Amino acid sequence: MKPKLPVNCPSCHNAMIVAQLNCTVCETKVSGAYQLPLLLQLTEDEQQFVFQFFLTSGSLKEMATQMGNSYPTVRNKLDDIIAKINQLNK
Amino acid sequence: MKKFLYNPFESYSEKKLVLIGSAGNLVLIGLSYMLNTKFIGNLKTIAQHNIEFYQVIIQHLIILIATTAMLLLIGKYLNSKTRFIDILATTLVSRIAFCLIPIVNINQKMFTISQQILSIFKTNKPEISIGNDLPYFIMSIIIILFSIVWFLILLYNGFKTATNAKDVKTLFLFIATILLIEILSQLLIFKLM
Repeated sequence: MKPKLPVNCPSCHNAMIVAQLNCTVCETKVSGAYQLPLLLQLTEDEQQFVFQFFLTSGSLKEMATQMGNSYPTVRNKLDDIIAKINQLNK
Repeated sequence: MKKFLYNPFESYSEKKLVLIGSAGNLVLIGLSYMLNTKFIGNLKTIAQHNIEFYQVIIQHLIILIATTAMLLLIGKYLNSKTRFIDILATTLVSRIAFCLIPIVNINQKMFTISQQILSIFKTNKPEISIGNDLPYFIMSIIIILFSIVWFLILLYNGFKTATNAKDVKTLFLFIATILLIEILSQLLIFKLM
């Protein structure tokens, strides 16, 4: 099973940051307090949606057909993600 | 299948929904004419003795146009991206729930019962009663209420999907709009017919 990247604290639900990065070859460790990139702050579902949007060249109609959803459902999800990104950007 | 009954708007394309809704509304018009059921609003129907075909068509068109126009207006106010086709599909599909209502007037049964009830009130004679028809009358009321509730659930789910509105304000605006549509369609039907 592929482990999921936790973006929110399982205890208090606040956003998490990257505290340590490891090189798997030479085992160099970098410590600090790095904010996750905006896209990684979205949930896995939302990231998948953005990825799908990119792959269909931004065609919501095509996405709706592929996902088996109606056009307004797909557009609503996109609007919700845009609102979330705007919120995270503040 | 279960979702199709209360929220088909999330999964089916607008073309499919408009097609299904149009077919359903044609059936509704046919049933209203054959079973003498007059619709003067989304929430008000009258069992009649004789009804003209052109009257049935005009009544249904007025209600359909009033509902679509008012919901589109409120939808655009809530979310400027609201599309006409989604609201039209919502109205058409939701009205399929009304196909059950004319059925209660098979053989003019509901018309006869309503005339009896009216005469009880008019003559003030409690000895006149609907007697044996009481179970039929109660069953009919249940069917009519079920149709109206089903219609409102479908309409609200379709409206929510079309506008992407989620807050409580939407629900209150929706209820107010339904009441406004009712007043508007009844006024238009009484004025024109």
